Amino acid sequence: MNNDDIHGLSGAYAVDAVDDIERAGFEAHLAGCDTCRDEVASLRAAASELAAGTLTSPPASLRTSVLRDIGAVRPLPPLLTSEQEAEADPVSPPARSVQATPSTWTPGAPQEPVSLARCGSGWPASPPPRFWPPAASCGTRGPPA
Amino acid sequence: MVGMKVVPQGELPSALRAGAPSVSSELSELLNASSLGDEAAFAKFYDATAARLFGLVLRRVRGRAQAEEVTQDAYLDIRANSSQFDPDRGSALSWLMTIGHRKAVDRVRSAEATKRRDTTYEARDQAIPFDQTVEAAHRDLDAQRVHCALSTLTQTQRGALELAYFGGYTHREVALLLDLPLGTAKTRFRDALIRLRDTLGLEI
Repeated sequence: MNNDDIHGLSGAYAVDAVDDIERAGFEAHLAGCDTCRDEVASLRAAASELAAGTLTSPPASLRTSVLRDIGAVRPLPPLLTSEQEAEADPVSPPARSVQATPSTWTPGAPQEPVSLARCGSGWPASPPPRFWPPAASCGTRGPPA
Repeated sequence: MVGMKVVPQGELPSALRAGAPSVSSELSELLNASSLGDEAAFAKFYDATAARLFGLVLRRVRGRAQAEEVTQDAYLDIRANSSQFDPDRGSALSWLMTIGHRKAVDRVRSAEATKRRDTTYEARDQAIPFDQTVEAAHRDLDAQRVHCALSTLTQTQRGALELAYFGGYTHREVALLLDLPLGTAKTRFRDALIRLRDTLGLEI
């Protein structure tokens, strides 16, 4: 897939209309393309509006179940930005990511797997996204019309 | 969908008026509080968004039991990753719907990969399901806004988008279903979503 083709995949990616191979390829591209990353975020916002016409109340039992089970889910600590990391440890290479350690951390407690690459994007997914490192603009296509 | 209870307009949580910036900000704050361990904030986030996510998932997967599983899984993911939500990258509602949609698509693709091949005719026969969206769209102002935005799309754009978003088809499958040249469906998605985004004023 050439570079132009992969830019054009943003819409399909935003609505999960890609297969696993295309997803992996596009996420690798997103790692270096601010333009596509911004575009995907905006297209996902548009796609999520499609569900505005299909509101359906889940059963009360689901609410009970969700709120019961979140008690067993420890929110992952935030990811440090490269700037924060450099500030905390000036000798560290600034491009490397570090998972913050919360002050309430319990020694010996099992840590949940970190499901995100360094990104600061706040878009967890399963399987985890492999994008959002510091990126240069892709340059071959301007911002969406 | 048989047995589906659609929320009457009068019962809509105010936070579902997703177009309002104040609502988006409120949901972000709830997520932020949740990331700090505030379970009451998470409950409010759930109450404000569950009908939207469950409605989508129910439309995507087969059966309420599976829809409930996928919806629960999405909320647990949100809970675990709430500290990593970045409002600069989109709204909290969009984030939730993205995660839920992906989970629903994954569930259907893994469970029905074989069955899908056997029901292609059925899918083709059902044609383009967006009329259901349109029908339901009159139920609240937010949906009405989306309905108007959808009306600006071409028939092919709408059909392709609906087949992908609600049908869970890949762009190649959509191309086959709509008799489009292979490789062009993805362009239709992008064009359609850009138009929707711009019509709805959703620029990030």
